[in-house]
Amino acid sequence: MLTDSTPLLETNKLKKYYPIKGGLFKKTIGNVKAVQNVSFQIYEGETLGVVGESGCGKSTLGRTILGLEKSTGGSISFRGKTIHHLSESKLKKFKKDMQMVFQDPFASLNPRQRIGDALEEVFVIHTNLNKSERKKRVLLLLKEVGLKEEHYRRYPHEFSGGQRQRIGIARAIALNPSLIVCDEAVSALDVSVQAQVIKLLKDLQEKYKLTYMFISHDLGVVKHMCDRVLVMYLGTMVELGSSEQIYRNPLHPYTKALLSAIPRPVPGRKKNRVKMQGDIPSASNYPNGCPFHTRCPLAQDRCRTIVPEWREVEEGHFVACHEV
Amino acid sequence: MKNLLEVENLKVNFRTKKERLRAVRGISFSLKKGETLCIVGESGCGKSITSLSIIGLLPSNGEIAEGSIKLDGNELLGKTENELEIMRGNEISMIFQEPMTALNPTFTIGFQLREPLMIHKKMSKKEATKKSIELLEKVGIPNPVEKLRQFPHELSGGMRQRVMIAMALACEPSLLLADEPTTALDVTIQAQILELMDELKRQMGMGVVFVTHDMGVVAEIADRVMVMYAGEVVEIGDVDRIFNHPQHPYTKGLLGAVPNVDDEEHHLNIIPGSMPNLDDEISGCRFHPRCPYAMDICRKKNPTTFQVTSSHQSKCWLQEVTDVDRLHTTS
Ligand SMILES: Nc1ncnc2c1ncn2[C@@H]1O[C@H](COP(=O)(O)OP(=O)(O)OP(=O)(O)O)[C@@H](O)[C@H]1O
Ligand code: SF4
Ligand code: SF4
Ligand SMILES: [Mg+2]
Repeated sequence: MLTDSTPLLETNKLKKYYPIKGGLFKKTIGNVKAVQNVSFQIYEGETLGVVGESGCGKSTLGRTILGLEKSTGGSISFRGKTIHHLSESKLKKFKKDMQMVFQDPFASLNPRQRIGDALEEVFVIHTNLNKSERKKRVLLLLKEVGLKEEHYRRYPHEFSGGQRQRIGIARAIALNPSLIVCDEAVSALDVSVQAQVIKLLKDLQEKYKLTYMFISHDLGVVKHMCDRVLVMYLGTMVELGSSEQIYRNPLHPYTKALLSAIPRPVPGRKKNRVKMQGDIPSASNYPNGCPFHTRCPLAQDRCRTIVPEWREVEEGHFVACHEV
Repeated sequence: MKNLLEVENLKVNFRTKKERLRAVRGISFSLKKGETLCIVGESGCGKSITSLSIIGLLPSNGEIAEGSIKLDGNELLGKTENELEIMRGNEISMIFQEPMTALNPTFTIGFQLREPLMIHKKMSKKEATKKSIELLEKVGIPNPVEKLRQFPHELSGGMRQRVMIAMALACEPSLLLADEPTTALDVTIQAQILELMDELKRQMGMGVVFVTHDMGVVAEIADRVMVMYAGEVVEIGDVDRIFNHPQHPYTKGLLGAVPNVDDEEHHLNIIPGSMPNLDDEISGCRFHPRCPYAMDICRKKNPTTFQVTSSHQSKCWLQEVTDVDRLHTTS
């Protein structure tokens, strides 16, 4: 990978806090730090996986990057231009270039609108194409994602989970974006359908040189999809590296625990689980020091007070832990 | 060993405005005491309906059209709602994906744990409280005394799941039905719950029917595996047989489609096409439109269930071909 080229997308100490309201007058009594000082780059044509458990901030990170949430601090730049402070109208031209695929694309579709019309709307808003040109584009799109012409006239409820996800993907690629953020895009699908959609995403990436930020809690899927992987815990980055580095040589105790917790499709396999205590802390009692110390099997005194530094331990492999 | 549960030719239909849908199409299986049977298959294949039939909790438009379900030799079909009510929570318990389907948001954890013990086991309030604390300890909940006073919404997802397991185990059932109990949990919490369930099963010697779509979970906890496709059982066998010597093309396809973190090759198998709808009548084998091995006979005749070994069955015509091959090579 060319690490000296300009990244397609870069964040620097990106923060997103949500106020916690409380008391008699609903005053802000604290913050949920959904994303804390997250800095990373995504290069053209690569797939960066973002993994972690529920509440680790991965979806908020994706939404903040796309401008669907206003950042609290830090910066976001796209092709070298900072975009986090732009007004809605100035952001519009960047938004065309950055799209999102959600877990359930249908949550955002009108049940009484035909799929063809829904897809066409994208072109109405963003292009000057006339009616027949638009229809042509939609039919091409349907074909591109493995659907048929006859689907043009169908309503949302007539589609299966896998087909729905194909429509979500069609919508995302309609305007030839360079970056697509996939947020748990295949997580709700059955394995056989999931395998089909993964293949579709990979084929489209190759064909259109797409760049993906692939958010998922499923480390198996991430391994199949991603070139590099960012591991998050409680809003912070704990480890970043190539897929190879993360899966072959995980360094952070949390990454190790996460990898060892995945049930493997191999019966009788000796379980060498990293023992981890308790639950993920709730946002209201955010730990001091290392955010992982309440569950970490290696935690020392300093972990309870000093936040571990983000360090590069081998080329391209970063980790935040005192004990590494 | 005697079978704890015996299901014979179970058929379940749903009445809809238009028609009668055949959700479960004549399935048979059995379970021994102390054994975990995993029912695996993709969405809509009939896993949940099968387990709900056993405990008598089918949706109101569902009906068992045919078959027999025996627990410890006693026929469950035809029992009155009252008789079933007594069995539920006592001899058979069920846990679900979403603990709030089993927990009542308006009562404390303590109340909900005590109540069945006082009703089914005729315990005094004091005895039931003591037993509740033991149960919470058993499922790994810290500060159990304090938890008794709390309401379900005050607990995390993983803790609620533990409470539901504690409730299900309160009366020491001989059969536990678990429908995707860890699917909504994070992997690290899932690992803890699976370990807990395995441990409890060992201690209490109950039989477990565990419904899941996750092959990793199956490998981890199953003794036996039953693979379902479109309302039918396509393969059933011991866990190593199913993973190491799968016979049915659908089982093979399913195993190949699971992304594996330890797999260096990065190769995912694609099963073409999609699951049929319940009302799709497919001639012959219900898997034939998607099967890479489909033969003429597959389009015409629904395959019989072949015995691969004494404890391994596959519902596929290929098995007959192999049997014939075997005959030819031995003769
Ligand atoms: N009340 C109902 N009326 C009509 N059809 C139903 C009803 N309940 C379930 N079904 C259908 O019965 C079939 C089997 O359903 P079941 O819930 O057993 O699937 P499952 O294998 O548990 O799937 P999942 O993995 O999605 O939980 C499905 O096609 C489902 O749509
Ligand atoms: S810094 Fe300490 S608590 Fe945090 S992961 Fe490393 S060893 Fe564990
Ligand atoms: S019976 Fe025929 S179509 Fe069905 S699974 Fe076997 S080979 Fe495939
Ligand atoms: Mg189900």
